[in-house]
Amino acid sequence: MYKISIAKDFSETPGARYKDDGPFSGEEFREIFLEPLFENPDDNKDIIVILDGVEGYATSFLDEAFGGIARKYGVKRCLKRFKFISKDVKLYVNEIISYIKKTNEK
Amino acid sequence: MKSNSLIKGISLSIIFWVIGILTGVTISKWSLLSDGFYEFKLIDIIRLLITLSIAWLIAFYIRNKVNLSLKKREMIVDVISNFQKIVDDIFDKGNEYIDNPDEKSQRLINICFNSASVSLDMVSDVVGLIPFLPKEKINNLQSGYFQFKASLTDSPFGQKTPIYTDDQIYHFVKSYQALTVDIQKTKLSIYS
Repeated sequence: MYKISIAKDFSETPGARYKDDGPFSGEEFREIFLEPLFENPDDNKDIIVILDGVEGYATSFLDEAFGGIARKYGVKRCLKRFKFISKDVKLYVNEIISYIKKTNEK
Repeated sequence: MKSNSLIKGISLSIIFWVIGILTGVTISKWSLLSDGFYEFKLIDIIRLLITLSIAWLIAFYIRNKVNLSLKKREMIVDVISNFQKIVDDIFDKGNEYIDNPDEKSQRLINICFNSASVSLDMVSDVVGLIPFLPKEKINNLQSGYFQFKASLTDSPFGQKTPIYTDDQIYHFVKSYQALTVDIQKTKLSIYS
C-alpha cells in the first residue's frame, strides 16, 4: 500500500495542467508521484491519496494528474488501485473519478 | 413549543365546554327542549367524549407533522440557496478573471470552488434525509457543477497569460445558466 498526501507531500496550492503553466502542476504531480507506482505492471498495491488540506483544485490539475495516468495505464487499473480520502470535501472523490472515467470517452 | 400548543388546546377546550354548558342551560330554561332530551345514558356520553378526544388528538398530531415537514423543506431550500450564492459569486469572479487574469484571482477562484464543493456536499447530505426527492436531481446538480467548474478552471486557467477563446467564454456562460436552472428545479421539487 502506498500513501500520498497532496498537501503534505506536494503542495497546499496545486497549480494548473502543465509544467509550463507554472509550479505544482498536475503534470508535475503525475510524473513525480503517480507514474513510478504504475511502471511495474505486476504492482497492484492500493494507492491511498489524501486530498485534504489544500486551498482548492483546478479541473486542469485533477484531470492532468488522474485523468492523465488513466489515459496512460488504463481506467480499470486506476480505479482498482486508487483509494481517495477527502474528509473536508467529499465531492472531490466523485470529481476525480469522473475525470478518470471520462478517459474512456476521449 | 409543544407544551404551549397543548396549553392552548386545553384552554380552548375548556372555553368551548363552558360555552356549551351555558347554551344548554339557556335553551332548557326557554323550554325549547323536550324532557326526553335529558335521558342520556352514561355510555353515550363516554363514547362522545372519547370520539371528541380522538378527533382532537389526530388534528393536533397532523398539524405538528405538517409544520415539521414544512420546516424541513425550508431548511433544505436555504442550504441550496447558499450553494446558489457561492456559484453566483464564482461566476462574477470568473468574468473578472477572464478579462484581467492574475494569480490572486486565480487562487481566490480555487478557494471559492472549494467552498462551493463543501456547500454541494451539504446539499447532498440534507437531501438524503428526505425520501421524496429523486436522487437523480442531486446527480444532475453534481454533473452540472463539474461542467461549470471545468469551463472556468480547465486550461487556460492558471497559465501565465491565459487567453479564453470566444467558444470557451460561451461555454462558461452556458454552463452557469444550465447549473442555475438545475438549482431552481431542485428547489421547486422540494415543494412539489
